[in-house]
Amino acid sequence: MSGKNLGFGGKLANITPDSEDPAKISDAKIDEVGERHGFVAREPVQKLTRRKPSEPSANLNIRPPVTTFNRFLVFCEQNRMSYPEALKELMDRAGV
Amino acid sequence: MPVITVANPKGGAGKSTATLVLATSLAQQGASVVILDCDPNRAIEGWRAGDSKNPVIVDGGINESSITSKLDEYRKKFQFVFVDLEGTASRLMSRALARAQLVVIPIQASPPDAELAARAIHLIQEEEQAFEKTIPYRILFTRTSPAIATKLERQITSQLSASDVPMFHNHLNERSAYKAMFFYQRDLNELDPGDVNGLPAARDNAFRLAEELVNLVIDARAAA
Repeated sequence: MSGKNLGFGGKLANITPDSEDPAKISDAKIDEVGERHGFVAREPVQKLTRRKPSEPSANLNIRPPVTTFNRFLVFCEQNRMSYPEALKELMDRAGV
Repeated sequence: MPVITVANPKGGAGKSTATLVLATSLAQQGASVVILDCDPNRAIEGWRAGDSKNPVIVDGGINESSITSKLDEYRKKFQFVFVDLEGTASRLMSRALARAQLVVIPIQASPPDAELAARAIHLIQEEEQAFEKTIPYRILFTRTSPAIATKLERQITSQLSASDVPMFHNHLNERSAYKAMFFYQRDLNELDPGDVNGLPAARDNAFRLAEELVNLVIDARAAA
């Protein structure tokens, strides 16, 4: 700290962080005013997709007894899961 | 009164340099200071990656969707929150202007810089009307000669004065020390006089400008 001290250290103490919230202004209203002056969104818009990145899949054909099949189907319905999701969930729960 | 937005839709006007000089000077004087680096070039975030001991905090992960919540968070924690913006007329700039408690508009003494500064001022004035608030702003001349004002500089200054556009009394002069801050990733006090010419004059310029800013902030707070 060898710089010339102009003595405004005392004044700095008068500047404090805000203690109250500022008046709420919605971003949408600011954007409306900004767009009239050509201040528009410049950030690239990324297309979202609902599909999750996944690892390669494999077929699994099984012929369980109807009672087992029914239990599995009810589990899938109740939890809104696909068969692969439900199989993973049950194996996770079983610690397999 | 901590949010200071540094904005000019014109690139190369000296926004990042002015931000870094002012923020590091204030931090070095003992103020708590954070810089929101909203410029995709991330010049100030790059500076922070160096080994400077200056305590200024830099947050580089700011975009349109996060600026509002970041400002609301930081304004309660720091004495000064600087927002450095990309030199383009963007929605991000518009949002940062509307939430500023002081706007610093750097310009070089050239017509394109002044014309684009006028665009920012028009937006500030309409935001003031739309949201019934005062957004104090000041033009800051950058890269000027400390010795002599060019004819162009004098003409631009007289036009601004005639239009009652408020200006910083101090300029951010053309000094190699300001470029050296980015090169050596240090603040002005940490730079070695053996490496950089005119360091004492640059430090003096930075302190005087920072002092003027502090006075402005105190006045603006008193007026609010």
